[in-house]
Amino acid sequence: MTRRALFAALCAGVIVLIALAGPLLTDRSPTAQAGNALLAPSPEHPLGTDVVGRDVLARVLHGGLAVVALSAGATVLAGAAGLALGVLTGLAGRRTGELAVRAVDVLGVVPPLLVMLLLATGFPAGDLAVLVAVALVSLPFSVRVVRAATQQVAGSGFVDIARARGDGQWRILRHDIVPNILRPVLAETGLRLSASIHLTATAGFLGLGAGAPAPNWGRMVGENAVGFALTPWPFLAPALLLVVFAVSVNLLADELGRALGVRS
Amino acid sequence: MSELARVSGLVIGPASGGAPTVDGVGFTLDSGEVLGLMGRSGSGKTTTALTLLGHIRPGLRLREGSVRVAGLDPFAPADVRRLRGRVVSFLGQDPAAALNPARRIGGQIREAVRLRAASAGPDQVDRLLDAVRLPAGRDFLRRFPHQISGGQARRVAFAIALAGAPELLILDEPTAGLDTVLARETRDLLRELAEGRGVVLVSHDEHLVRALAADRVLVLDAGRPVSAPPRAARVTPSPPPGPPSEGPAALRAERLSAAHDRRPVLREVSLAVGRGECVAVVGPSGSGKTTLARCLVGLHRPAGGEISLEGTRLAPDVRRRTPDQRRAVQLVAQDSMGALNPRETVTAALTRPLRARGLPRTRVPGLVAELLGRVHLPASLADRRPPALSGGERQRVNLARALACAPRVLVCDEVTSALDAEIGEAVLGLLDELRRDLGLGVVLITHDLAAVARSASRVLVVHEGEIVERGPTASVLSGPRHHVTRMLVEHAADQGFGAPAP
Amino acid sequence: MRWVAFLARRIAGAAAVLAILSGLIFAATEALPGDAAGVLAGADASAAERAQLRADLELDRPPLERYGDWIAGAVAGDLGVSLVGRRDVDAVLFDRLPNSLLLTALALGAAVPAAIALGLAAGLREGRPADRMVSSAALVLVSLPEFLTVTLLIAVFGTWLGLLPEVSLTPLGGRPWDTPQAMVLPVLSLAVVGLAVMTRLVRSSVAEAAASPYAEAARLAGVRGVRLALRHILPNALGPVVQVFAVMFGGLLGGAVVVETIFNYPGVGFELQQAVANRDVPMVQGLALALAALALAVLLLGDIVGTLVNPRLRSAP
Repeated sequence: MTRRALFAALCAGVIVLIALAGPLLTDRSPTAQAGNALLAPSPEHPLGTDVVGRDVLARVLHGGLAVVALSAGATVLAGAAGLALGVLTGLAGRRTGELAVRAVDVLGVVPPLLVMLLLATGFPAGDLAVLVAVALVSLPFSVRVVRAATQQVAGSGFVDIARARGDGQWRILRHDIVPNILRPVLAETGLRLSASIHLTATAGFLGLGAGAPAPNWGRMVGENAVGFALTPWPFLAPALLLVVFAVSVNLLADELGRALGVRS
Repeated sequence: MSELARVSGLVIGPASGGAPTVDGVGFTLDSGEVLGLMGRSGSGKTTTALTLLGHIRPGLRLREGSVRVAGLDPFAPADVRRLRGRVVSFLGQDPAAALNPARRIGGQIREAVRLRAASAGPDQVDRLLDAVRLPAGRDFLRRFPHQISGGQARRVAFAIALAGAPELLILDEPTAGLDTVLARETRDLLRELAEGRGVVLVSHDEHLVRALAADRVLVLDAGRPVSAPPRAARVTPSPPPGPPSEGPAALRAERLSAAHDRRPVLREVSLAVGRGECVAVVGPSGSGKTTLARCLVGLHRPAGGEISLEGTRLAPDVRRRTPDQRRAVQLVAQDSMGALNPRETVTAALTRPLRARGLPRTRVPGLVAELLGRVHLPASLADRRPPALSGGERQRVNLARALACAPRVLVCDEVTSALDAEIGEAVLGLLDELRRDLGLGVVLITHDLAAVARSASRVLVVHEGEIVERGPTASVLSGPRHHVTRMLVEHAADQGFGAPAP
Repeated sequence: MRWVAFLARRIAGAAAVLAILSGLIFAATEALPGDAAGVLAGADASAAERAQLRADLELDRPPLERYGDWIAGAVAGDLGVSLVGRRDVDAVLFDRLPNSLLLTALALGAAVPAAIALGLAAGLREGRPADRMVSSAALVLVSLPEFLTVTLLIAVFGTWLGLLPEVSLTPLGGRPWDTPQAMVLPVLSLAVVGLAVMTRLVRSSVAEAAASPYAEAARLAGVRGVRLALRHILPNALGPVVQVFAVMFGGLLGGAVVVETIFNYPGVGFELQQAVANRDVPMVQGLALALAALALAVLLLGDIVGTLVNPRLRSAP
């Protein structure tokens, strides 16, 4: 592990810890009015209050879960679906495989944020729209990478020999295909996680997902940007957490790709 | 003759430290002289030659030593500008890859001329094309590299290297990867082009070194100069083993035809191999040999003809054959690395076919050890993965894995062509042994007639998908009738394999 | 003739994809359980009121029938009427689209040359300090969601330095280019977002071409500097880049939604975001269809240009 990777892992770990354990660290309500709007930091409110007078620290501690859980969940969802679809289409006949890939590619044509906006219109307000949208946006990438890797392995000499010897499809899948596509798939998953964080945070910023009072780092940046001149913390605190999270995960993904010998 | 180049005390190693790849190499070269740099792959030949151009490949570093070419230092920025292209010209392995795919042929040749010989007239391009025997028409010059044949691309690269009439030509394995016919053509052309120039020839092709009449040969081994001259020829062939056994052929193919995307690659090829017999299928690259191998094991669906195993007809698709039939015919492929799962240890690779035969788990370790012994591999390799094995070791593992199926026929597709000569010899020797001890029939597919002289009792010569000549090895070698056979025989003779005495 | 066939094939393909997308857009907005009518009627509306509203909006007709009507209208240039404010969707689209195109074009115009220059400079020096600096900066910028980059830019340029307007104060009915200073930050923001992605692409493509055997041969033949970069390496690096630039454009459209929302810039993205917030289904559908069509058109263009700059593909499209 390089020093860069270690540093990035440390940063990402701290952010995940804040996001997951944050709600346990404060007994203040993240949604209740706690004082006047845009108060400067004080012992009572270590990070001040936001545009409507809620405690910023409490909101920061509660607001990470949505970003971290949704982006990770969507990545896992898309990764699992992509692995299954990619391997299937990779092993299917040329025609069937191409048809399936075309179908998934149609999704890839739509700009990610547009998918998000459309699903936010169609689904009831809530995090489900965000989860599904982020997963759907990742899926085409995932399928393409898995399929390409599968095809490459399926065309290699050792698979030929195993086929000629009479090994069954399942045995070939388990011994030959899956172990040999793990590297590119893992590297791709890192990149997908990074992109998912990107989109999840943007959804929060645009006010999509769970209802308005619920704390969310992305939304806090949007809500408090106007008050920046008066007191920067309600804006800066969630913004910095997001910056550190997004950058460290992307760095990790980059290092992972390098370590696995996959060029991004 | 005046001194053209001098290299002394050259030490080059990885930039990150570690054992040097070139260690204490030195030589001088007079103008007009030809120096052969020989040695196995990885012995530091190319790295040494590139220093004459002041080039060290990324990841390596010049640690010690000095290089002078025409009195200039290639590692001094001001000097290297005057050297590259004008005095020293480089022709790399796979010269066609040196052409820029996004630029027209004409533009690339003209650029080379302009860069090196600003004074040369416009007819210089035509003269270069003439020298490498390429058409000089405008139409040809307007083409892109992908629009000309591989042979033409090679000649264009030669023309570019010759622009500006360099005094020193560095040739890096110019015949590597070429089949017999092309290699011969290239050798002839190079002999002409090298006339009167200083040449440093990096090669392990002894014919080429001989053809260019190298004045001196420097052999490198692991980066160090070795005093011994290159071995003149490979070991003499053992006489082909006795006549094939009686009874139905172990494997027989009749009037086999096959196509790739409707383009026919095999036309009505018939062959039969008996128990313990070795039949060779020889032909230049692209003649359809590999397709034949894949048809025999059922990986390529033939368009016509039939295949039978000991008198029983086999389904064309391997999935339709019975488990016993599938195990009976095993393929060993050229690319020993690609044929092994990089994530599997040797033991795992051998265990799979054994378990698939339904052998109890408890017997497997003993059988794995037995198989390794069969192919003369030490048990200590059992836990290694393919990247940690040498080419020869990998090919032995491939053989062992095929043997694990208890086959009756082995189809060997160019199993030695990616190996150094001695190691290839040893693999062939192993095949002979297996044939004798286990009664295996062997279909030996190769482009190298010399390789078959020792093993095969009969030879089939394939050319463009058809069998153009067939017969006992001895008579084909001594009296070839088809011109392709003649070419292959001449090449074999070059390598020290005269036709065996009748 | 080959070219005619090639173009016809690609255009037909794009049209088919657009047809599928229109179905997906319709399905996503209407068939999912979002219940736009329920949201519009308000939480305290009675069941009867909701049913009335559904009937008024013709939501009780079968979805396929409504999709048919919508598509027929779209083909004729009529995208329906918005639920909020009863505006003609096509009128809004044609009023806002030029503003968005201007924003995106200016941002691309700023980002593309800069990305090529930076990518070339870094790619030719792979692994050296200049490359590491450019690559690291691009890696950091790429990972940041657009809204963070943009709000941070505003914080620095608008609030702290007070240099530029923080929102585009386009007068009602006016055009953004009437107040050019209001466009600087939106364009800059969008350009920065695109710059990072494109620089990375150009860099890796250039680095790959620079390590190729033909680049090594050119270097050994004495070709150096600008000539090596522009005549030998760039032409080979550009092909893949053009096609990915086109894909990038889709990302830039997404970026435009964010940038327009932040600056209240009167573009399609801003309208779309508002429409989503209001669950204004006809407006969302119309604008989404237009944006999807635009993204497809640019992809098609990228495909064609990418084929043109690659001689290998050009001769046999």
